[in-house]
Amino acid sequence: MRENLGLAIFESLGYIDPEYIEQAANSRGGERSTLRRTVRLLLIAAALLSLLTAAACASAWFGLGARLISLGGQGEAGAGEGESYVSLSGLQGSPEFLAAGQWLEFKNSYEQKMVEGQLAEGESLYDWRDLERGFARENEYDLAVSRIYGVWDEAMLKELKDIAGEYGLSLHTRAGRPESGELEGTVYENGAYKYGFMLPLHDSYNLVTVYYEPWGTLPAMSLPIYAPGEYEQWEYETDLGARVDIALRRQPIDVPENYEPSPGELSWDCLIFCRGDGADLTLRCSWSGEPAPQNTAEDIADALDFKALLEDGSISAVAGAIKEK
Amino acid sequence: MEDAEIIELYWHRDERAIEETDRKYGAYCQGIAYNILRVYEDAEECVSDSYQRSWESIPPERPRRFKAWLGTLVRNISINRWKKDRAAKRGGSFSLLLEELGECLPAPMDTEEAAELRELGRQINCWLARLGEGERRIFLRRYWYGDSIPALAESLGMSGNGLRQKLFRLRRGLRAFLEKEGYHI
Repeated sequence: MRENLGLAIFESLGYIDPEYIEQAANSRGGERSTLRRTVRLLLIAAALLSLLTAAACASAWFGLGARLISLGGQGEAGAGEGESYVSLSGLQGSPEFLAAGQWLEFKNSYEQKMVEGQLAEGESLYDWRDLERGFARENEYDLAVSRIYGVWDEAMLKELKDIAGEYGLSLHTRAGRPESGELEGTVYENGAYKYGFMLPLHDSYNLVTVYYEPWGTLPAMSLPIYAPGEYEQWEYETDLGARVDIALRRQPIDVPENYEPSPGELSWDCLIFCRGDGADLTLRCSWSGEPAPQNTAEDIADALDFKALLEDGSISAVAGAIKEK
Repeated sequence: MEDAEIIELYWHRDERAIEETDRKYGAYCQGIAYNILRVYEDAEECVSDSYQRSWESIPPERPRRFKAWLGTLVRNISINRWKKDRAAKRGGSFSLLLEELGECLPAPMDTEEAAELRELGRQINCWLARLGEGERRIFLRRYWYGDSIPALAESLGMSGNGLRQKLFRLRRGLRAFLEKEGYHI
């Protein structure tokens, strides 16, 4: 009884002034203190990095074009139509790449079909989803992969397992927070991870997300990307000797027809790729106001020890792989 | 990226909107959902669903306070998810939090009625406005964000017992306020 009354109050708090919600958020240990913790980690990491020896990281031309998954349209890097994704594991023709494309194609079209079916029936858009996942409750493995890959019914689960089997890939079975309380991200059972952190650069901090994916497993996600043909791409050797591929795109902004935006008004989307030691590493970041975006992209690449990250293969190595610029 | 820029991405149907929302507020949303559900994967799903809902809602909506709007969205989705699961998962720290809050309501009410919840929310908002900023933050961190007592006490530099007493006084104050305002069903 009292729990129900409590729930009523808890829900009614959803109607309070948003300003109070933000004030309370700003005093939490969430975003702000996380950033402070991260910055502290970065400073320690920068001191340790001077002890590291630079070594070459083998890489050839494995840029955006070789990782681009295009759905419902052209398959070239210059494609402007259809949905596009960046493969986080494997290049074109690899089992990981092909399986990721097949899964995305199926999942998107299946969900679209189900939603349209619901609309035709006058039902709510997502009523077809089995939130309890009763279809997988009796099998721990089925339940785990269903949660991780966004599977909502038996047909999706069967397709997922069929695709993984066809390409001889494993599926992720566990996703959780990193063991260290200092890190914000997701870690999978095979060591794959997604980790977002603030990278110190040019007297400020850039938000960077790193994705690490060992080969042999179908990644839980692929990165959605817009207008892949607009990315400028080049190969680059970092200060620490890693060969990386950089892709950079100016984000569109709405301006009057004859107005020429200043550099400070422009923002950029950047992807940096490196591979080796049985895994792919993808870094994504965006920023505004830097007058020389190509230099900024290379500075970001220089600020991470890609070789150390690939050799170590654990999320805990990220803090130690950051070099202050 | 500024909130206004992210909202512009939604309005331009640019899929980067979701990516940028996740970059900026992923941890924030994850924390809210996790504090309610206490299951990492379930929290992830609720966060994903909240992004989907954002995509469907903007446009036509243009939230003035995007962070609070998004937080409310993921919180509501997580509450609904918790309700669906609670028969099987009764108990745990979120139930404890609700037991605490249950002390504040002077009379039973139909908890399914959205209009009544909104009215109760409006009353609580009046009460929150009368609190000092520090007390308001403590109350909301516990009962809006679901922060645990030990984590909240540590960040405030208080003992757990001290914080419990403080929260008890706040709850008692809320109950008295609701009674005084003639709040009854």
